Amino acid sequence: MASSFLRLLALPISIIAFCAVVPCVGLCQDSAFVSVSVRTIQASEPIEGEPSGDSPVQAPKIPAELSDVSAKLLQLPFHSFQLLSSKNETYEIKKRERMQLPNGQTLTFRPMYMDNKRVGLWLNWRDGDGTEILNTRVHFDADDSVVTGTDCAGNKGLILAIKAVAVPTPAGEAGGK
Amino acid sequence: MTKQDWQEGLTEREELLLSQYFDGECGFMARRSAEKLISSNPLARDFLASLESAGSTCRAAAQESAVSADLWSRIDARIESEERAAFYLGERRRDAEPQSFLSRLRSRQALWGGLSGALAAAVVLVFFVAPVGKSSSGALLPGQPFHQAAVGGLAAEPASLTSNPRSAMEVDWMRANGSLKLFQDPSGKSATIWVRRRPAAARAVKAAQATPGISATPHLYLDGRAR
Repeated sequence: MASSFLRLLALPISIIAFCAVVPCVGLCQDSAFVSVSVRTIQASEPIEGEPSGDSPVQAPKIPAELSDVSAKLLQLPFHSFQLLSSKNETYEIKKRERMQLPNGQTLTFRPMYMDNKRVGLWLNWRDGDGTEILNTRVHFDADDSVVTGTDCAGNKGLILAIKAVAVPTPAGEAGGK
Repeated sequence: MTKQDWQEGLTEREELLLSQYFDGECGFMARRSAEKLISSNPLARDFLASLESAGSTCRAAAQESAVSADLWSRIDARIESEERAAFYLGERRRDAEPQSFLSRLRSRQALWGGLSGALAAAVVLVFFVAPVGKSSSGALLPGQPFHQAAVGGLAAEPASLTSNPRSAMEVDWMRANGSLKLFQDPSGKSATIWVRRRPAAARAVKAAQATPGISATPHLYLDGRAR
């Protein structure tokens, strides 16, 4: 009877020990916090059809603050891009957060994990009236940005450039924003 | 041997000689003497005949006694074996009728039941147990090339959106209020996700011509109000 009781205790004890040891070991060097930056970009002057021989091809105008995502923006059918707002805050891993965008839209997200190489992120982009624009869960490189956009009135586009950067957690400090 | 000895019967010495001769325990000289006595004395021949008859009688009696002892032991052994068999296998009964096919089949019910159970378990393992590594809608599939953009707003299968296997964006799921278009990054980074909404003018024209079942997407303005 004593042996069976000890066997029953073995599993929870091993689980507790595992949960206590693994974070200390830090095998995957996962960060407990992540800095998420969301830039709201307005795209205008849509490119329609093939460029004709009479009018010269105009290079898209990309501001300097969007130079890191210029390669992605150049793929979109717009000539002009303008940074509307930029928000950068630190959030805790695996916690759902909500960010209000300047045009009344909301971006709900949850960083699933963050290590030196990859980041997992759940995104829920909603309109001002609550209509879901995009709901996705993606995994991308830690030094990369997720760019998503949608059409707007006036043949314009609204683009979100989302980037997640790991926040190193010093030893001994308690986690938090 | 004198005439008087012959007339008075065999002496003790002669009977002993004949007995030894009958038993085959004589030497060469004693056998010659016994043979000479038998040939010359009828009493010796009678004595020898009596010895032979007595011997045969004894042998017959011995044989009879030997058969009886073996039979009883055999009977005892058989009774014991029958008792053991009855204990382990049940009483011996005599089946008057030959067993039919169905009765034989029923008698093997346990064997058939075991075989069918084993066969069912094998079928379940082979056909219904998913092999390890098979992808599901929620699993990650790194490195899987993306061939088409998800149209209609729902991409159930996870996909890796990249032309460069070194850096890829993996999508577990993607749902949008409109059609989705993906623009690949030429540098191999993650693709750009575009939710395609129909413009208001085009939507108004097409709404009049649209067949039933087509729903228009809400029109988004920068001020956040939907019209």
